[in-house]
Amino acid sequence: MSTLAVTAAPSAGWVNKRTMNPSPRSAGNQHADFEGLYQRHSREVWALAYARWMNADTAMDITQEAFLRLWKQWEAGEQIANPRAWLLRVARNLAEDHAKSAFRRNGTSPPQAMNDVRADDPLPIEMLEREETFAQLRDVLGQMPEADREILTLRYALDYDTNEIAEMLAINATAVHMRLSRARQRLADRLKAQGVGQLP
Amino acid sequence: MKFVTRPPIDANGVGHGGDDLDEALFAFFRSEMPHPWPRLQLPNSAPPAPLLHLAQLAPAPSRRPWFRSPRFALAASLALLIGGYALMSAALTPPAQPDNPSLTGETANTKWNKKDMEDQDPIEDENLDVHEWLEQGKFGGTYHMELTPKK
Repeated sequence: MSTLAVTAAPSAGWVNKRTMNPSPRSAGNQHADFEGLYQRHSREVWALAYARWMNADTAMDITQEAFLRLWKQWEAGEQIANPRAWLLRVARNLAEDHAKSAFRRNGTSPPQAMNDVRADDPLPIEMLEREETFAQLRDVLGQMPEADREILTLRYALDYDTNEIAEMLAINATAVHMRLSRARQRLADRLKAQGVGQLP
Repeated sequence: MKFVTRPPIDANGVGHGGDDLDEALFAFFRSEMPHPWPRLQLPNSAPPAPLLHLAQLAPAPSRRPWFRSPRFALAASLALLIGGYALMSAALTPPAQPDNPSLTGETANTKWNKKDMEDQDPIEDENLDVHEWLEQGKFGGTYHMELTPKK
């Protein structure tokens, strides 16, 4: 019997292909394949969305939406040769769409203005210091160019090395090294200018 | 305040060897990432279409009577269309030419077809009077022929 099968590839996601397969994969296996795809690429998608908004929850919403759309494409029988690239592109678009809707909701107030809202629960002194430092970092990062935030997020949130960042951003390793160094320098300068020179 | 100490991070030529800023950034971004990582929330739906057996995708046998099937409706429509065309063609066909056309009355303007012209020479028609003459003009001659019904 002729069937349509989806096979999971280890690094490049999965590839849809027509094949003569006498024992098609079950729906459970397909869910598992998709789950594997999620495990491999969801953090990258999250990092891109986070770099755009500096908001973990928004980034996770965008990540879930991107994967949901990929699932629907899969359900519709669309062939997506490179799901990783597809996901990253959709995540960027979703982040931009979120920018428009966020502008409608918040007017001219930048979304970062609401990021520092925290619960009123009492915190130990170290936690308080840590939260304060993180809030300053978040504020300064929010003022930096998106490209700087993107490369810093990939480096420090995902712990990606030069080659991994180069592959994801489709640039060469030298450019990664240069961009990352400059982004770090700009960040350090801004922190110093705001009196955050003494990092813990 | 203390951050988790990490090993140097420039093993691949990236970063600045695990200084305070690096440690702060690692700690910050790690704190921002959801932990534990959320599971994927997929809608409860049928398995993706490409994964189904073709047999599953085939339509189920219909229990409708044959005369209510879409194929029958299509065939009936086509039959009506063709039948109607034939009927209208027959109804609107012009009447046959008279065997012996004359130039009087309502048939005066009737055009003769080639076969009629071959079969019957109007000049030799016993019901017609034929008058012929040649008129010589400045640029050549003009042949005239007048047919009038016999009285």
